[in-house]
Amino acid sequence: MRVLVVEDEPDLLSALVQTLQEEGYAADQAADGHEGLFKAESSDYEAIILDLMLPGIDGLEILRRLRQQRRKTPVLILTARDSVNDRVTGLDTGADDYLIKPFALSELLARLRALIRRNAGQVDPLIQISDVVINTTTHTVCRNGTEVPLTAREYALLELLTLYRGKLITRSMIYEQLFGDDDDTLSNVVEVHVSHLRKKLGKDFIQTRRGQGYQVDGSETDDV
Amino acid sequence: MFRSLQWRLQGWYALILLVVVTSFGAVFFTAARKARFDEIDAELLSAARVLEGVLRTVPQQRRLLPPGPPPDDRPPGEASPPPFARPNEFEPRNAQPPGGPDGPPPRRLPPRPNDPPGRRPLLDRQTRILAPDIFSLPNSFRDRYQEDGDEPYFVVRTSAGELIRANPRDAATSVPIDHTVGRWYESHSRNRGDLREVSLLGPSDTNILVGRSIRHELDGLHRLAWQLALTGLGVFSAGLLGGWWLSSRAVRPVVVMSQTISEINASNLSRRLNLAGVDTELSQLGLLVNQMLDRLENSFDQQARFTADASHELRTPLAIILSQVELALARTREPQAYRDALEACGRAAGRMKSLVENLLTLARADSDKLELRKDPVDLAKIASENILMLEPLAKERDVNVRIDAGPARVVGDAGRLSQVIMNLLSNAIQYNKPGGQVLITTATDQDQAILTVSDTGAGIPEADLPRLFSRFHRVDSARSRTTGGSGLGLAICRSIVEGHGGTISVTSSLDQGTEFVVRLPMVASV
Repeated sequence: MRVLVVEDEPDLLSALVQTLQEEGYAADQAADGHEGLFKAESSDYEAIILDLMLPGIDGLEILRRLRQQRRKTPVLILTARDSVNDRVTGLDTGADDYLIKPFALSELLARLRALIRRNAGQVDPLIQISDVVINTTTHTVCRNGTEVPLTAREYALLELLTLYRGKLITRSMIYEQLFGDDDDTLSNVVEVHVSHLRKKLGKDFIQTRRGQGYQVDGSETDDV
Repeated sequence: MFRSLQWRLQGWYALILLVVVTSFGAVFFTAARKARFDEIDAELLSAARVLEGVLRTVPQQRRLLPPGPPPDDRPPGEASPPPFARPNEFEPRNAQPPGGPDGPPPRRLPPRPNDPPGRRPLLDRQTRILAPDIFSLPNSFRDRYQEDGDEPYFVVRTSAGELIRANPRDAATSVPIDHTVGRWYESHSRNRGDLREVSLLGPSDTNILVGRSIRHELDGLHRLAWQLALTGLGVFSAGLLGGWWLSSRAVRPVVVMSQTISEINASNLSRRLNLAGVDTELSQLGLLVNQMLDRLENSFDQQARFTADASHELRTPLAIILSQVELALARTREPQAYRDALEACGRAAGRMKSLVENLLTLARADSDKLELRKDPVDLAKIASENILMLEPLAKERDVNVRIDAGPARVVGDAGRLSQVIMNLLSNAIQYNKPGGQVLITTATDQDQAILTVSDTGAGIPEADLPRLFSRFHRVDSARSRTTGGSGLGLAICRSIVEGHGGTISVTSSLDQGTEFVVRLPMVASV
């Protein structure tokens, strides 16, 4: 899951990015409006955390431009402006959620998960595919009732594939979503993660579309 | 409820109305009663005068009778009018004219007999002897009041109370003598039950009393009294109703206004009194109330904005502290990670501290509690000190700071004035472009010390100049984040300068630079 954090307070930005990374997100950061808009326009993020008062371009202006470009990326506004008017303006401009400073990181993460889940068309935080149950809240995976230990990367890959189950996920999408700007990874790492997941969850859990990408097809267990 | 204005108005109104109606009724009734009694008295008096005339003729008749025949052929029983009236012998004795049209015919009274000294006529004996029938009331008078068995009556006595003649006879015993007559008055009238009596001082100290029943008249007066009372009651009630209507009309705007006012509180300060159709004095009051509400709303808005801004400024460092702490405690970390988190928290807390201090300074300035010292202060010296302190910042920003120090001594608070200069100077450095210049000058102009701080920065848009000294106003709402300002610096500068009785002003042109001018009185005006 790749998310973008646009925040001009260095200390807050670092805390946010580190938290997100520890949660398994690929977090990009932008410290001013120009950088934020550029990044938001140039990559596909699963979600954007956006401060409103930014040097360069105002947060609302970034949001407006993104929506004008028909970008559907969920945007969570993070701001110290707490008046009803501000919240209404933010949501009406196209934000999907609004969190007021100061906030608890756990709440931010929960809202972020909800945003991503909803955007993918998933309503239940528990995703079940055949005998595998993925809890997107606690980031735990169970197979036949027993927990399967996964690394953060493995979990992120699994969640990405299962969120868009039945759809083809290209390798470039996986790179885009799994690795932030700061990650220096080799392309074969994706294969390594996929083979680890297959070992832990069963050979046929992830199908390979040769030359295109991967797919988790849960069509026969759609009756969750 | 009864303490309300309307009830008081109504109460006073009722009282006044009651007094007016009652006194009008009383005066009217008294006048009517007096007029009626005067009429009765006039009749009785003229009847008494007839008797008096008879009395007067008695001694004369007696004197005149033997030598010659009576001057009148009329039989003595028909004594009205007296037969002896000769104009040349009369003179007016009493200014009081005789009674009404129904009374005896007008006539002259005989002159008071100037009796020869030592000769007092013995009236009692003579009258008893002489022609008893001549003592009677005029027929016209008697006929009028003889109905219902209430016959007019008369009693003639000597002033000593000895009866001379009475008709009917029992009147002599039942009617007490009116002693008032003769002592103070020539004639006097009185009420005795439903009887009206007039006493007259007759010739030779006689007391002539004529009376009759005034039952009809009293009944009439009684009816009049009732009519007056009922009419008065009606007028009073109508007046009360009208008064209530008027007073409620007068009070209604007050009620409406007070209702509106009672509904206004901090959450709906924008409500105003509706002054359409309100009387002049009240609309004046309402206008004042509305103006007061305008001012209140304005200051409430300012306060709310200030609070919102202050809380907004506090939220960001608070968010930093909370998220850094939450992150650090999420799992076990390297010592360096804790150190970084604590440092971030320290920076955020430092920002909150300076913000709180600034807010406190402004709050003190607002309530005139800045407690400025009054020491001799050399602005040039303070400016030089501040330049030294800000040298690292100036170096970092590659800004050249110069000073043109002229003599500028004022009386004031060195610490606060230093705060002003520090603020202006750090702004000039921070918002300058690399390689820019900052010039501080101090000088004296007549009785003012002048300090200027000018820079070669980007300048301030003209639209922002009027609000530059407002609290939490920032030219670029986010630019201060990187420089650590809270938007209170210039507001504090203004408060301090104005606290010293001085002024602060700014001129700026885009891309040219900005100049702040502080003028302080040489002798503190406060």
